[in-house]
Amino acid sequence: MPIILSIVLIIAGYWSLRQMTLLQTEQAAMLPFADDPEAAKRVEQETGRACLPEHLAQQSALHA
Amino acid sequence: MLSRSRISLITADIFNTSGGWRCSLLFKLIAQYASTCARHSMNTTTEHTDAYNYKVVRQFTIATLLWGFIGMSMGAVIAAQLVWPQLNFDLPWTSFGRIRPIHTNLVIFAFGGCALIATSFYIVQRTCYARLPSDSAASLFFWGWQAMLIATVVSYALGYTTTKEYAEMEWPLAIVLTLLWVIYMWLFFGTLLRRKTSHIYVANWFYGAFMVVTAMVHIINHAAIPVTLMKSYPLYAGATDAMVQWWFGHSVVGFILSVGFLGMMYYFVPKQVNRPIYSYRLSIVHFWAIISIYIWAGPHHLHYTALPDWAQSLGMAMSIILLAPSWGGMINGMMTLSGAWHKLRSDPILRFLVVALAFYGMSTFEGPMMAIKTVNSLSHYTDWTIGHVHAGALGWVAMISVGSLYHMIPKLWDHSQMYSTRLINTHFWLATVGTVIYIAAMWVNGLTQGLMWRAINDDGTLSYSFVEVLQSSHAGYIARLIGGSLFVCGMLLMLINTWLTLRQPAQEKTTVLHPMEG
Repeated sequence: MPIILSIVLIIAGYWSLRQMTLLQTEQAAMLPFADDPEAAKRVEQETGRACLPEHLAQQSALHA
Repeated sequence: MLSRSRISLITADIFNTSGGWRCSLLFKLIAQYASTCARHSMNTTTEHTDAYNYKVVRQFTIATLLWGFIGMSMGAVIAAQLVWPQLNFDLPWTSFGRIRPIHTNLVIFAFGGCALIATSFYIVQRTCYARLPSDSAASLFFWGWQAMLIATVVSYALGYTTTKEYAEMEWPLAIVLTLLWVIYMWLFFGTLLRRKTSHIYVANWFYGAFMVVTAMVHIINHAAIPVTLMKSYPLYAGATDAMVQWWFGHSVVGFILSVGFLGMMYYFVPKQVNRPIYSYRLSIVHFWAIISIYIWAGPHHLHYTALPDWAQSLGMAMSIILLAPSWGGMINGMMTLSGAWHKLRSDPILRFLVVALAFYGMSTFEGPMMAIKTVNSLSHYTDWTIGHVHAGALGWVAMISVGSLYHMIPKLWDHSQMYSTRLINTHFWLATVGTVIYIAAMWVNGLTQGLMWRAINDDGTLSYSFVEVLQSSHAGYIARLIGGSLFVCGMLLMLINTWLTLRQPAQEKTTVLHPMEG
C-alpha cells in the first residue's frame, strides 16, 4: 500500500511538471502580483519579467 | 439589533461594576479594540472588498492576534508554574495538567488555525480572482470556529480530555470541528472551482493538502465509542492506538504547522520581496515530495516502545528522507531574495519572513537528527524535544504568521503601511531574542537531563535521582520563562500596532486589475 501510494504521488508530480512549459511556470510565478497594478509594475521594473496582464498576454502571443 | 461595538461596550460596563479595576481596564481596551475594528471594517470599502470577501479575512486576522496573545500567555503561565510550582494554586483548573493542553490547542488551532484560515481565504481569492462561494457560510464558519475554540478551552479547564496529545477534545467537540472543517473545505475548494485563471497558484496546493490531510487524520484518530456526553474510549487499543495517535500527531506537525504555513510562505515571501518565487518548478517538486513523505514519519515518536521494530525503523528512515524536501522549500524561499538582500536592512516584515525560513531550515534539520534511534535514546522525554518544538512553533510558525499578517493588515483595511515600523522592528527583536533564549535553554536542559538519566554506577544503579535532575533544570526553566515572556511582549506590541493602524483613516480607493483569462 505505501509503495503504491508513493508511486502514484511520484507520477502525479511528474505529470504536474510535464503539463507546464517553462513560459507557463514563469507566468504562474507572477500570479501573486497580477491583481495589484502597483506591485506588478514594481516587479516588472525590478525583474524585467512580464507581470501586468496585458504584458503576460503579449508574451503568450509572441511565444505562440 | 445591537452592533458589535455596542455589545463590546456593554461587556466593558459589566466588568467595570463587578470586577476589579485591572479587569475593567483590560476589557475596556478589548472593547475599544473590537469597536475600532468594527468601525473600520464598515467604513472602508474598496473595489478589492467588492471583488473579494475581505470581511471574513479581517475577522480571522483579528482573531489570530487575540488568540495568539492569549495562547502564548498561557504558555508563559505554565512556564512560570515549572519555575514556581506554587502558581498551580492547588486548584484543579489552574493546574499544569489542564493549562498545558489549553496552551497547545490555543496556539495550534486558535492562533495557527486562524492565521492559516485568514491567509488561505486571502490568497485563494487573490490568486484565483474569485470571491468565496458564500458570505453567510464564511460568517457561520468564523463564529462556529470561535465558539468551538471557547468550548474546547472550557472543557479542558473542567478536566474533560481524551488524554491524546493535540487531540484532547472529547467527541462532541471533535464532531463540531469536523463539520466546520467541511464548510472550510467547501469555501476554499469552491473558490478554486470558480477561479478565472487557468493555473492554480502553488500556495493553494499547499493549503489544499493541509485541509485534506488534516480532515483525514482528525477523523481517523478521533474514532471513539462514546459512553457519556463528555467521555469516550478510542476505537483502537494498545500499540495500535499509540500508532494512530502519533500518525495524527506528526501529521498535525507536518500538514498544519509545515505544509499549511509553506503555503503562506509561497505567497507572502514573493509579495514582500517584490520578486517571483526563485523556482516555480522546484515549488512543485517540493509539494509532491513533502506530502508523499511527511505522512510516514509518525512512528519516530514511538522509538523504543511496544511498536514493532520495523515500524520504528520505517519512521526513522522517512524522517531522514524528509530533510530533502524540507530544505528544498527553505532554499526556494531564501533564494527568492537573490538580488534583493539589501531590503532586509530596511524592511522588518521581510526580516520576520526570512528569519522564519532560517528557523524552518534549522528545525527541519534537527527533527530528522532527533528521529535517529540512537540520538532519540538521549533526547526523548527531555526538554530537548520542547526546544525543538518551539524552534518550529516560535521561530517558523509564529514568525511566518506575524510577517504575513504585517503584510496583510494594511491591505485589508486600506492603509499604505502599519502605524509604526519601529514597533514592528522592536517586535522582531523581541521575538528573535525570545526564541533563541527559549531554545538554547531547552537544549542545555535536554542534554543535561538525557545524560544524567542514562548515567549509571559500577553496580548498575542510577547515578542521579529524578529530583537531582529536576533541580539541575531549574536555571533552564527560568531562562525559558524569560524567552517566552519576551515573545509574548512582542505579540502585545503587534496588537497595539494593529489597533493604532486601524484607528487611522483609510486611504483612497485602489483600482483592481481584471484577471487574464487562462
